[in-house]
Parts: sequence; structure tokens; C-alpha cells
Amino acid sequence: MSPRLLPSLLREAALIHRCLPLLLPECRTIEQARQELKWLIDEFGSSINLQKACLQRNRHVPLQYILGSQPFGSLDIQCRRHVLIPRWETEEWSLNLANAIKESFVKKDKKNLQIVDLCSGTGCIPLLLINETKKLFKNNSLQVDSIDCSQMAINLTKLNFNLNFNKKSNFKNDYNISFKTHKFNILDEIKVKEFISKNLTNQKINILTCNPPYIPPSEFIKDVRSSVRMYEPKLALLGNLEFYHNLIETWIKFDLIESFVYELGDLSQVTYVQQNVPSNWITGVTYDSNSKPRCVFGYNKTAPTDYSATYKNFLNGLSYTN
Amino acid sequence: MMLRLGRIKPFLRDSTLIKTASQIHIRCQSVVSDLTTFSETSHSKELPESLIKKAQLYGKEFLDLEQKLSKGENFNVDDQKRFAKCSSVAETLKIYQDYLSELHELNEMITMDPSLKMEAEIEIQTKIPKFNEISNNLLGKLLPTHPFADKPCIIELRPGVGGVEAMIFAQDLASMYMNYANAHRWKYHIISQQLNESGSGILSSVLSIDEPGSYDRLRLEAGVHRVQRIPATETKGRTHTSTAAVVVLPKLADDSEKSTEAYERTFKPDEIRVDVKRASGKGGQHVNTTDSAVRLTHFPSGIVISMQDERSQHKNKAKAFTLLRAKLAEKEQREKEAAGIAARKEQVTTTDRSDKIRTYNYPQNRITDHRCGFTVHDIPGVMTGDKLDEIIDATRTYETDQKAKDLLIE
Repeated sequence: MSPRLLPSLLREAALIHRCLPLLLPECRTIEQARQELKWLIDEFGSSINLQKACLQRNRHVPLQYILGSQPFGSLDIQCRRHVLIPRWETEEWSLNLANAIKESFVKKDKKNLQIVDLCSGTGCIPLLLINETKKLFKNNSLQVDSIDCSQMAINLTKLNFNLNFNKKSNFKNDYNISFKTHKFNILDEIKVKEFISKNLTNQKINILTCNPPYIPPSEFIKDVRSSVRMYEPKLALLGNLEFYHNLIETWIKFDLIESFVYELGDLSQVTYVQQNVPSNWITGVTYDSNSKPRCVFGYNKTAPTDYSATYKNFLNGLSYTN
Repeated sequence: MMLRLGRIKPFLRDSTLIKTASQIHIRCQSVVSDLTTFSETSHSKELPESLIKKAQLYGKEFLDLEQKLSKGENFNVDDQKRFAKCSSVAETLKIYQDYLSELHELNEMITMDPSLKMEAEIEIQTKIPKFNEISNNLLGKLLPTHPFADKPCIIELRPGVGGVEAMIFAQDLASMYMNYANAHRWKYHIISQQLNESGSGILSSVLSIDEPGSYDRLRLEAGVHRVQRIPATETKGRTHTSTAAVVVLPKLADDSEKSTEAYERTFKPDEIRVDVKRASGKGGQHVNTTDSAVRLTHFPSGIVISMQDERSQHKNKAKAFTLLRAKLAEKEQREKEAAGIAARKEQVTTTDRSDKIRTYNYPQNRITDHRCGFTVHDIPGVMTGDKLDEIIDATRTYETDQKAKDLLIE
């Protein structure tokens, strides 16, 4: 897909560090390769492990799997194979959503919140939301549920929660926050109902977040970088409208949620959601710093909680970067 | 053969240099002191009447505060600070006046009784250095302190003219400041550093020195530093002149995300733009890029900051905002000072970043500060951070003198 690397570039890289040419196929420029080499040296020193890591990188293994982690907001999220690596776009909108929650719920009526995250993967979205908003929930309660159909993802979410919160022993005492993980397939309507009957604290879920697999199979070869294609789980990547269909036909139709934020990769997915939501729902699209459509959000204007301020903040949050 | 010569040469050069260097050093120092202070050896450095009056005001306030304290009234932190300041000024003033009256008595003695002239003069000579020290001390206390004096600082280094040699010199300066921080046991860290592609020298380096008060100590380091030496890259043994620019900024907040986030929100959306370097394509799940570079543009001031060292875009942004904050604060302070100078409507030599402030001459093993004319003949000592204090002290004394002159004009 990408043009061949010039031999002169490889030679130039080899003069700087013998491992540098190995990083070029993935990094493309010497500058970026040096940056990655620096991070790898920070992790592995200059031992034999560094060479092994660079060889892996040469075979397009994602840097996050080699180093085992990815910074996500102020959290450090552990990454393992078979679980999708958190993307910066997701980081951006999650932080934005957290700020929107902080700004609109801190001043207004104090209330208990329930947030549910679908297709959690590493658990990065719910964990970042907890970390950013935890100060609001000393008296009021926050319940966060993280749902995924992969056992490996569930294990990793638990690990990430423990590393980022449970290590600090006073987290449980200081904040009124509960975090649970659930393993089931959300496309299965019966299991969703079962989950709802057991886990609903408020009448409805306040915010539903999701980063579903949204790459249509037809784009997989054409538009997906080889590193993603070869090493990240197809389970977390391939999909088109299934999850947006599920949003409309299960979560909204059975009136389980008051608002949602779904990540997406294409405007056709926005159109699908906007055309199919009931008329009492207000929807909108946000763009990331790279000016690509990234999220579709919506809220029920007849819901007891007023979400207009929250989602106005969410929409405006990116104004610095556009 | 080459190797041996290489070993012997510097040895010879050094041993001869040490002798001459120490002689020159002494000579230069005496010249400098003649220039900067009012011929220190023979005359006492008596402070003008207006300054003494100012000091006496502090003395009065000290007495008032002391009475307040003895009554046992409420004493808050601000009062306490003020009290500490007043008491130290009053104390120094008292010692100053004691010494001054002693000197006057001795002078009188000379006119009254010529037979004692010799002894009195000897005593005056012994007393004067101590007196001048106290007088300088008092002067320092009377001058207004810099508004960011108690802040930690950020040092930014960039190579100037001179290509790779300038990059190497910038790196030398960076390590000098790190050594200096080490010597003082100050905490420091590198905020960002971009190495030269070919491996030697730096394109830019930003250090953070986390010790409170380090800004006051190091702010006079800002300016263009010039080096004269035979570069490592030179094949024909010619001496080159290169420069590197040093910018010292007050660090107003730590670069944790929490504090910068609040700061970020003080800007209007149209004042600032955050750019992230992103390749074309669909983004999102399609790619797992590791490029986390962030570029910050502040439109009203035209400041642009790029940051790419961290793996997290979020942290890069936080660091960029820390740097922006420091730059804006420093700019504002500089503008204020400039306005003050313009108000007096006269050309005053300042100790700001005018142009080249210091020369590092390696063949002569000499460092000269051009603002105060101070010279040290020990480049290795300065570069390891041990002797940098000597230069800093000299420039500070010079600045104090300059400020005192300004104060008198006012």
C-alpha cells in the first residue's frame, strides 16, 4: 500500500542507530522512527530485548503490544493481543464527554448516574470517565458497567481497573463509585433484557457509550493499515451497521437509555442512526481534530433528566481543535 | 605519533595557561571592580540620601509592626512576610550606619590630629571592603524584587549561527545547566529535546528546573551565548565562532494535566489552535498511529509551540500549554519593563536578552560576560556547573548596580 522505502533512507537510518532501519517500514520517516526508538529504549534499555522489539516492529506488530501499554488521558491502559488498542480519537472524545458531564452535572441538580459502556475492550472509555468525574461522586453514586463478549477483553478491563484504581487503597472509601464487568453478546436481545433486569439502578441508563467495530469488510483490505489488519482482533474491527441497528432496535426501542454516544468511522453510519431514531430524540455528530466524523450522540428530550446542556458542551468541546 | 602528540599538546597548553590565566584573572577582577563600583579600593561605597530615607521608612514600619506584635494582635501571613522583610532591612541599615559613623570618626580624627593619620588610614582601608559589602547588601534589599523571583524556571536552548557546531554548543550549554542544577541538588527534568539527525548536537532542548527561586537565579542567563573554538567537526584546525540562544522563563504551574486543563480553559476558542499531525485516511480503528505530536498556536502573541516527546497526545498538549503559559508570562513582564524604560524616556542598558551576553573562548580557556565585563579562566569548571555561580554573582551585582542607578533617577 505505502510506497517502497528508499535505500538511501534506510542507509541514513542505519548510520544513526543500527535498530533504526527496522522501525522505518512502520514509521515511514526518520523523525518518527527516532521517537519510537527512544520510547523502546526507555522500556528495554539497549539489551537484546531492544533488538527483539525492533524486529517485532519490523513485522508491523503494533508498538502498544510491544510496550504493553498505551497512555489514555491521565490513565495508563494495559494492552494485550486480541484486544483492540485504544485510539487517540477515542481518547479525545472520552475526555470531552467527561468534561461535559463535569460541567453540566456539577452545578445542576445532584443526582446518581449510571453509565454503561458496550464493546469495552481494554475498558479505556469507562475507566477514563470514572477517573475524570470521580470527584463529583462522593455523596451521589456512580454506577459504571462495562460489557464485552470477549473473555480476554473482560480480563484486561478488570486488570486495568485494578491497576488504575484499586491500587490506591482509598478509592473505594473516598468515592461512591461501583464498577462491574459483564460478559455477554449485546446483539442477543434476551441477554440484554436479563442484564437490565439485574443491573438497573435508576429507571433508565443515563449514558450509553460504545466504540463498536465499524470497519465495513469491503474496506478492510483497502483502507486498514497492515499493522492493524495483521495483529488487532477482527472481532473488534469488522462490522458495519449491526451495532447501530442494535442501538435503535434494542436500547432505544425498549426505552432502556436516556442518551448515547457511539463512535463511528463513516458518515453513512451517522445517516443510518439519524434516520431511524424516534422523533423525540435529538441527535448530533462530532468531528475529531483530524476533521473526520467520529461520534454520533443523541438524547431523549422527553427524559426526566435534561441532557441538552451536557451534549451542547460535548459538541462545543472540540472547538479549540477545529 | 599523532596520538602521542595529541596527548602531550593539551597538557603543555594547560600548564602554561594556568599560570597566565591566574594572573590575568586577578588583573581583570581588579579592573572590573574599578569599573562597576565607584573605585572600591580607596573609597567607601556610601549610599545616596534618598535610599537611606527609604531604608529608614522600613525601619519605622518595623517598629510599628513590632509594637503590633507585642500587643498580641492577630498576625497574618502577609504581615509576617512584611515584618521579616522590614526587620532584615532595619537590621542591615543599623549595621550600615554603625560602620558609616565609625568611618566618619576616623576621617575626623585625621583632620583633627595629623599624628594619627597613618594608623587611621590603615584602619579605614581594612574597614572599607566590609562596609561596601554591607552597603551592597542593603542596596539589594531596597530594590524591588522580581515578580517571579520565587518561581521555578524553564530553560530553552536553541542553536544559533554555526551549523552543527552551534548544535553541539547548545548541547554543551544544556549539560552545563543540568550540571549546575546537580551541583545545587536541584531537581530538574528535560521537557523536550530534539537531537540533530546526524547524531551530534541538539536542534532544541527545553529543561525544567523545579527548584523554587531558580528563576531569579538563572534569569540573567537569557541571551545569546557565543563560543570560539576549534570544532570537533573542523578538519583544518581553524577556530570557529558560533552561537546558541538561551531563553529563561518562569514556570508558573507544574505540567501535570490537571493544572493545565484549567489553564487551557482560560483561553477563548478563537485565540488558540491545537493541531495534531495526522496522515490522511480514515483514522479511528483503521490505523493505530503512534505519532502523538501536538502543535499549539496562540494567535494574539504569534507564539507557536510543538511538542512530541510523550507517547500520549494528551501529555504533549499539557506540556505545550505549560510552555505557552511561561512564554506569555515572560513576554508580559518584558513588555512591562520596556514600558517602564520608555516612560523614563532615556536609553538604559538593560540586562535583558539584548544580544550576545557571553563568550566562551576555548583556546584561551576564558569566559567573559559582556554585560559586566567579568572574566573567568576556567571553562571546564564552569561547564561542570561548579564555577557558574561566580559569573551569575557578577551579573547579579551588575544588575543590582544598574537597578540602583535607575532607582536614583526616579
